[in-house]
Amino acid sequence: MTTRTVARRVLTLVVRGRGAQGGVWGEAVLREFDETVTTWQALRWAAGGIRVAMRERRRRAADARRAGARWRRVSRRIVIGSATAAAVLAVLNQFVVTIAYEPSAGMQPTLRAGSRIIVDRISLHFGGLSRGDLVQISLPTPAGRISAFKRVVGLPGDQISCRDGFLIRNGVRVDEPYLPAGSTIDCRALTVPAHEVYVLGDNRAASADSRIWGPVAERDITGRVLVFS
Amino acid sequence: MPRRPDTSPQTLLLFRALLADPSQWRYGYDLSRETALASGTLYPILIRLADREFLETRWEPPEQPGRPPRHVYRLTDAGADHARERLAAAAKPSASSKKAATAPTPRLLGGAR
Repeated sequence: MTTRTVARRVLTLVVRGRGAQGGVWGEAVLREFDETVTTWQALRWAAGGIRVAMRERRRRAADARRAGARWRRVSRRIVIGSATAAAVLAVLNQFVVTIAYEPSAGMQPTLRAGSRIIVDRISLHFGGLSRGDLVQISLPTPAGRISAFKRVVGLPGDQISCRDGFLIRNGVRVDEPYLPAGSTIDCRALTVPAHEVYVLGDNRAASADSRIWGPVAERDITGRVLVFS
Repeated sequence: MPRRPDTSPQTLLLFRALLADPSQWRYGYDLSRETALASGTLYPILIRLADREFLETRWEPPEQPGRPPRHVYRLTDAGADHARERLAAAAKPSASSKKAATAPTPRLLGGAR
């Protein structure tokens, strides 16, 4: 192997590495190699070419690092942004609310007919319902679903009955300060089944509720009253 | 104060070679022979000039099939102006660089002075 061949091989290796093609400038020097005539020219050309190729390689590596850093910055921003958005949405979800209005007088005096009501649609899926909660019900009827506001008075397992015009729950007379004065009630005794609740309107004289419909399915409860006017 | 770029003797040699016929595409090896600059000196200068768009580069298709294309160079218009300005400034070392920059005179080249 001549010195010239060795010089060419070394230059090719430095320019191309294991790839088929090196950088623009390394290739440019390499393609001129065959113009050299003497061994000395060839060696000098190869030596300078090696410097050029190594410089170019360093520069490309630095550019790639910079590009990589930029991509990492961007992707980190995306991750942080989505995580923040998810957190904000999670918080918002706790308070997802809609506005409704009470069309009837069945909840008077608590809700007048025409009251505007802010309904929390989410929290009942996490915390469940409590006795005394004002809830929005989407009641299935032959004519389609109707929306109504009622008060939860019996949870699954509660024994509901009426005696002397008072509501009796699990054998105890329920204290109902929200009722209009002189209000009385009459009802059929029952035990609230699982996944259903017993609801009544505060305006016992004018309300259609579980006394007529029977207990209401929990899945038909669409929200809990948060604020009302 | 930082050194003015493109004022080194090597760069000026290259400018002179490229300005001999500015429209001509030149091979790296020929430029190296003409300027007596080693490849390790010549190409870094070419790279710097190309980065600043003072130098156009392209791959010239080979004359004979089977041979790889060669990289060729020539000054852009801006590059030619820049080269003339630098050569003029170098030819008039007493003149302030400011004056040389405001009055680049192509005629100063080719030993007209």
